[in-house]
Amino acid sequence: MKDRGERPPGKSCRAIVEVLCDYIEGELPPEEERELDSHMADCPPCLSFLKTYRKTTEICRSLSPEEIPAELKERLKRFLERRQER
Amino acid sequence: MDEAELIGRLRLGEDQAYEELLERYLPQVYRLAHGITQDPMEAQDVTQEVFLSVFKKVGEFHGKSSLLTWIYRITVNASLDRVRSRQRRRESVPIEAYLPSFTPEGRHAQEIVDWSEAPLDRLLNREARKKIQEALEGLHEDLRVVLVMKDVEGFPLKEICDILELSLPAVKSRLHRARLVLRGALSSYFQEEAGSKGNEGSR
Repeated sequence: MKDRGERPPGKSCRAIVEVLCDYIEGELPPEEERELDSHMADCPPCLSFLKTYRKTTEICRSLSPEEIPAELKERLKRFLERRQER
Repeated sequence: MDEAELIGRLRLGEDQAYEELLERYLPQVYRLAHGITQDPMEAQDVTQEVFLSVFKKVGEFHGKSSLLTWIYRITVNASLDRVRSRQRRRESVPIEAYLPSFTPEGRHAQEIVDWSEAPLDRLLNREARKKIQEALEGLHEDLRVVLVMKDVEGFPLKEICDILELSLPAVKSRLHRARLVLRGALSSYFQEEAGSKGNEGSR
């Protein structure tokens, strides 16, 4: 963590990117969140970065398989039946 | 039946309990295995392995965590074993190509294109999904596990920490890095697709 006393006024874009995870998870302290919001208002590249970062996480949700292979449950049940036969 | 009863019956070797276990947890286990291995066939094998393991080892389950946490932990470990035993590494692009870069003053060094408001069918088209899957497969498995659990399967952060037995900062650090890589991969794809000559993700 950077020493607060040495940090120039306002975070750099690099520092903003570093805390984006906390920001979108709602885990930044309120004053830091305000600082980020204020930076975003004046920094189009960071705003674009935030929006695409957030959108990436949303797109990931669509990667979860919609259906479980039907044969999988059957396969596991057959194992059970074989156990019963012993 | 509640969890304690289910565990009790599993310990007795009751087939009904095993069926109940499958009913309750099969989809979740499969999805997690699928996300980590990125291979439907391997995910099926892992799923079978997990349920066999649970059935055999339920006697060793001491209830320090919930049953589901324990099952997920077995799933993660079995999936990672598969991934690590693969001889062929799927990494096709160095990760650094997809990470953001900065000037000495800490400003973005590359053009950041906002593709976030493109229509959904473009964002989720086959090529984009392929690109994100490639990037996912190219991630180190330690990063991939966290990203799959959080962003693909929606596990809360605290639960990820419990299952992986990692601190919250460690989980967040891996998650963030994985997200940066995937964002970079998608940006590279969308910019190429748009015919833009942006530098993000360039070789």
